[in-house]
Amino acid sequence: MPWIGAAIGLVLLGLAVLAMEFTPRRPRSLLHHAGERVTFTLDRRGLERRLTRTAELDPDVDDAKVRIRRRAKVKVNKVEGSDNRSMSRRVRDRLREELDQLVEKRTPKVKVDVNAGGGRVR
Amino acid sequence: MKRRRITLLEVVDRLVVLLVGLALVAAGAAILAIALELLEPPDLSGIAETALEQLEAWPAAAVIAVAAIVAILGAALAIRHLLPAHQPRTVSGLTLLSGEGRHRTEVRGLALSRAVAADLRQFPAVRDSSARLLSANPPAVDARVSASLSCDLDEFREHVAGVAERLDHALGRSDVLLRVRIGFVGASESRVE
Repeated sequence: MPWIGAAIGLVLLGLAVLAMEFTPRRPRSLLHHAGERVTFTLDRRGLERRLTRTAELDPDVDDAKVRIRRRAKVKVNKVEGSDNRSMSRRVRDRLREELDQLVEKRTPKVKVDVNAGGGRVR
Repeated sequence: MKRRRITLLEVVDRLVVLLVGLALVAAGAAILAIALELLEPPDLSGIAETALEQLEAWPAAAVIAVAAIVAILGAALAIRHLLPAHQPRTVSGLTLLSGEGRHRTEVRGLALSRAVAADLRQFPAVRDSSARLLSANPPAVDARVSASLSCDLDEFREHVAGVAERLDHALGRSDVLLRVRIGFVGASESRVE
């Protein structure tokens, strides 16, 4: 029996290694501006923080969390009583605008997921 | 769209990881098949006068196989982290072009890096900075800064253009390359990642 467990473990480990190799990796940094002699890149985690702050500037957003992979995925907890659609569109447009200004190449697309929240009430 | 060049090292790196993954799956599946009696255990009796001759049962061979795979896995991870892409090398210093005859002036890389980092810190939104001299000819400096979340990047780029200009002037050349990696940090953070 222990051999069967070890064998299953090995197969799972191998599959995990293969899955990690084929899953698109999170970029460590994104190109902000490439000049002739000076190049600027943005650290991915820092950019996530800045976009999170931008999303949270919306009055209908209670709190937000941005994760960048191939897309910038935003999880938003809305203020109770606010309109989902208009808030989602506003946040998406703001983040798109900011990303267009900040990232020169391969600008991630924005996807917004709205949760009910439960904190602040409008 | 222009595609990024893939280096030979990256191909080798991916290939090694792929082979490790496949070897793990194959080894696991083989052991499973033997344990479930779907496959005959390997006949090791034919391998004479070797260490394997001493092995009487297939589990010992499996242990050796697993150890070998784990060793390969460790080597693969080591290779991955030793690749130049993960650890860019720094140079210890550079020689100024103005030196003539038997005399020459050398600038230490550490001193140059500290000067660049200090100059970058002059921008109000920059909380912390560090720099490294990556090459001497042409001089290439890799800098990292932690900036506040509200940092105006247009203004910061102008400041960095000034830093590059001052660096050119100090080194007496006009081909200095500068790469700046910006990390935005919140009010409570100031670390350069």
